[in-house]
Amino acid sequence: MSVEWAVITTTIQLALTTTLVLALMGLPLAWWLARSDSFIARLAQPLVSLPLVLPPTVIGFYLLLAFSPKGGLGKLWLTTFDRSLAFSFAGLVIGSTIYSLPFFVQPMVVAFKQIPSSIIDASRLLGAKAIDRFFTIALPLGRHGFLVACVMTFAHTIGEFGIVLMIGGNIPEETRVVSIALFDYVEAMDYQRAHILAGGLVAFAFISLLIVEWLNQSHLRDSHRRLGL
Amino acid sequence: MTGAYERDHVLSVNAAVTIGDQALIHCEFETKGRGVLALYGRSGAGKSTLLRTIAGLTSPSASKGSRVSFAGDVWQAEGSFKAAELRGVGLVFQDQQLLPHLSVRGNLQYASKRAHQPTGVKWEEVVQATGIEALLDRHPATLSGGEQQRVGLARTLINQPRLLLLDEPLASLDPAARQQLMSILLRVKAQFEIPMIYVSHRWDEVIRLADDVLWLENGQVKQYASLSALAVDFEMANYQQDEAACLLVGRAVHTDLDQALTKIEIGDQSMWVPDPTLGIHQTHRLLIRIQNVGLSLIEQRDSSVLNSLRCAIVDIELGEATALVRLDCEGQRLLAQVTRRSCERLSLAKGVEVFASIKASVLS
Repeated sequence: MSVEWAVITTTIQLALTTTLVLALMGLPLAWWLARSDSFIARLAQPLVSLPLVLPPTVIGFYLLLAFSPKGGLGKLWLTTFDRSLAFSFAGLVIGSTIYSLPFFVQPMVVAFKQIPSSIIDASRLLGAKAIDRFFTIALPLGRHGFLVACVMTFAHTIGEFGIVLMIGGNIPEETRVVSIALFDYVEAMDYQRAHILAGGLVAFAFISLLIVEWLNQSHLRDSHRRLGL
Repeated sequence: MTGAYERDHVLSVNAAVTIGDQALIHCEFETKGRGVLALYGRSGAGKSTLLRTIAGLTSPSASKGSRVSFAGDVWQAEGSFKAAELRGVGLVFQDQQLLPHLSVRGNLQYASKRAHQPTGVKWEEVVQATGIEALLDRHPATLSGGEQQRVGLARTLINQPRLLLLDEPLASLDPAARQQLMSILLRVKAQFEIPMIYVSHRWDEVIRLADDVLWLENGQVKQYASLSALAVDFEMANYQQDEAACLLVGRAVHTDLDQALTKIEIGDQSMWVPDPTLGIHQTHRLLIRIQNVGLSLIEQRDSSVLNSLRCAIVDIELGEATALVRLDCEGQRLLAQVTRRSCERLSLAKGVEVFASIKASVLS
């Protein structure tokens, strides 16, 4: 008797894809949030953090409406790709991206805000325009925050349940992930397999946080060395 | 008369910066288009804010109503704002300006790749003038404060700005590094043809480097004059109190290595200064602290003070206990501070010929 391996590979695939999507979208978003003090940026900040406080089922509910063939996004998806967005892997990625957004963006905003403004001003006066600054100043100086953000996003996506429950549909090899499988096992009183998954998740979460801790420590050592302490 | 070069480098500023409903600066001036203009005043007078407004680092909303143009090129006006990165301005900050993830060489390359003008200064020339040959492969974090400032200056020069702004670049340095960077700034001023605006709250720095001085107080222009005019201004002397000093310009003619002195010619007269390293046949600025100037009616030959210059009294301002005396020495203006008692005892008055005994301290 063993757990279904497909559940684990699907879960890892989902977490990897979500992390990748967030790295592409979240970096410029975090840079903008860290640097701008415009009204829109101040409005966007709590919007990005919303998934931290909302029950995942609320996000899942609205996404389900949007994904339905009658909903705007679902309809567009159906006509473009000729398949439904609800209960699909792509739908799960969209849901996870929104759900994990703050876990990527927050550490990046913190990392970007730590870059002294005199350094950014200096690069501007040397003639570096906005996109130039993003690649030559923000990314290299925010790389520590980037590693932390990736680990946090990956780990958090692995553990999500509420949204997957609402928009996933529990389809094997497509949307059936570890947290859902665990729920199924418990429902079916299959405690042995539930133990394997639950224990595995605990170990995974612990290791992830260990990595984050280690990254923070090495960053601290790095900056101390830079300052000659 | 202004030449084509000056016309091409005139900066015209009408700056108004407010935060909330508090006005930080409100001032208007136009530069001469060459040389060093010092923005002088106490901390909090608005010097850095003014400099950042010129550079384009003040937000358009905070500097609303300001007008800045350079060589006829409008940088800021009603409804238009040229981004800082497009102005072609160089700024040397107080500290923390090097890109920490790049080596010194990497920092210089970053600047040369984004140079504001296609031709002009050579890499070697800048590296040599700022004395950073040995630092090229080091990382910013391993540099001392003085070294970082030198690299910051070199990087700005390699970037070839049309206007060089310096925001108290010596402020965070120890006296030795301060001295060294000042010598480099003087070399840069002589070697590179670029107008500079230099912010400082220290009059000794201003005297060594500046040609013109914009005296800021509470965000407004208190006075804008040539350095020599402002250096003998009574109001300025009262403002500076213990730090008040003026300058004499002269040519070094002889060095006495034995006694570590250099002889400086001022018109038909001369004086000795305690620095044997001054370049012979070069013009030097002598910083004369006004408290170090004593007056007597006959030439003092048996005094420990080495220098005695014949002057004529131009003007006297009486204070409570002291008097400020403006002197003419070989066509140059000099300021002395004496007690009122001495003033009366010696019957000092306009037109009287006196001998000024001078201890010269700092020079450039």
